[in-house]
Amino acid sequence: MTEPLPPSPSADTIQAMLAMLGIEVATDDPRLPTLVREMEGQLHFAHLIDEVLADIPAEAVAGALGTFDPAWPADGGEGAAS
Amino acid sequence: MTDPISDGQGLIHQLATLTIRDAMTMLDARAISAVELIAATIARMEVTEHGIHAYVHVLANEARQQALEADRHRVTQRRTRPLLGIPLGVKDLYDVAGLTTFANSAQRRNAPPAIRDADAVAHLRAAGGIVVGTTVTQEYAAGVVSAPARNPWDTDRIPGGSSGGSAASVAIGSCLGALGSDTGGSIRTPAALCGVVGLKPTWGRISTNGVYPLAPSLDTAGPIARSVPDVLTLYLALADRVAEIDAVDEMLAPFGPVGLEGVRIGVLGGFFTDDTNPDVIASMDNAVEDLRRLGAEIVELDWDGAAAARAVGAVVNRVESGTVHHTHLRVDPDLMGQDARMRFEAGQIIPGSRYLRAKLARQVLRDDIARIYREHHLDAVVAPTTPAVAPDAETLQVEVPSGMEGVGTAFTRLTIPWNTTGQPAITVPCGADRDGMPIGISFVGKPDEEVALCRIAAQYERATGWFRTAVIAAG
Repeated sequence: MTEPLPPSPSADTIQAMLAMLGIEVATDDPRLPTLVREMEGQLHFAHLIDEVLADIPAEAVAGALGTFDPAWPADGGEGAAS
Repeated sequence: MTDPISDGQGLIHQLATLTIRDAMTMLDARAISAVELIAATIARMEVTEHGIHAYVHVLANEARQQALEADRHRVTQRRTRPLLGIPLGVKDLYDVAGLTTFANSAQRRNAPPAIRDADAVAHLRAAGGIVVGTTVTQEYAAGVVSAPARNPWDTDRIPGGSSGGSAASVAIGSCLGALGSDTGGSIRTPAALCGVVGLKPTWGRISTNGVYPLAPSLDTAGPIARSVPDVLTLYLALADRVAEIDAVDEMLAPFGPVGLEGVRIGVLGGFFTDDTNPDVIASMDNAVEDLRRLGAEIVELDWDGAAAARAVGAVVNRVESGTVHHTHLRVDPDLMGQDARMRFEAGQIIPGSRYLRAKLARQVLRDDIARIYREHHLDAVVAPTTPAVAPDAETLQVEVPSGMEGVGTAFTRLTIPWNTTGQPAITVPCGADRDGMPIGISFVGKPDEEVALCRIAAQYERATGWFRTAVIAAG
């Protein structure tokens, strides 16, 4: 069974979260109400995803997420982060 | 409705309905030359662009020069370059050597020109295609409006997006085919709203190298054109299968005397029809009857995972696009439009665990849809491409049974589930609403079975012929 939906983050919370990431959104910025609605929608999406994963054991999660290839790129390390 | 470019200039007028396959035949027969075809395309563009605004850059001189070369080398190159002389548009998200890829963002106003073509552009050129210009997209491909481009069926309305300029240019005849990209429906939605055909191939199979990214694990390159044979032709070029292009007619052969004998098609209800405009539902009902009449076995279905597949696509899209544009939110963010900025900011604050759970659910949902195809022995499923037709460019809302809905959600919610599963999907015109605006039906196939999918869609298209009436000129 999945948990009931928690409350959606308020405008103040969203402002604070973005500020922590170095993005300032003024209180009267017209994006703020849109962001609040967007995060409400995201919460609903998260709930739907939780339902899909309700019966997935931790081992399957590890199997799906624990993938990484340590091999160096063929060009000897001139990868995207170099 | 009539085409105002009916001034006796034969080929310019003919471009309103010409397909790539028709043009290939005419070029091969020397009924027209590439120089004539490109000149007519540029001339048509000059007339239509006042109302449609589909293009960002027009490469008139380069295209004329390449047409001369195409005519000069037709005899020696035709076999290996079957698209020799075909005028094509390229979404302004793909690098075209020598042009700045603006991605419709003021943040890229001073970006340097691309040094080389995106792989997809290079493939089309290698096959002989001539790029006549780059087409308007939504800022960073994050949305469905594609301003300033307008819908050729009614220039007060949006063409959809984010490949809106590509779909509009194909619909109006200012090119014969175009490149789009599809992260949540950005090929299929504008194709459906503009009355043309759009193919989203299987994710990861067509190179996106040189395409400005949005959400890389969903981003898909693909073609928009006027018919199923045309999109398959372009797909084969993109997939580096040029040698098969001359066999497209054979690839799309009927399954039997009627057309779809032995083909099993799932018709999706529930999530795909519950909040869909009645005019779209009526067209879908007619399309299903057409499929039945063509001999297909129809299986009515309700995929329980569809809403979750939409949710996964929405989470992955936001987080990956927020990550791609991390720096753009911090350096000159005021140059970014409000809509794109809001989307990318949301992507910054969605918890990492939510993203990883979405990626995990994506695999579960992929397996779930595979099980449905297997259990019902399906060759394809069909659903409406969009829940409503193109709306007015001022209101940006559509009418669905639950009320008025913003275009951002309306024009992705029926398409993005197939980005989540990664399956190939093609939209084909299937009717019009009471105002004559186009409606599209999506056929969704099995991974890597684009040819089989096109073969099914081609039987429907051939029998109903909607695409033949789907091209009118700007009023």
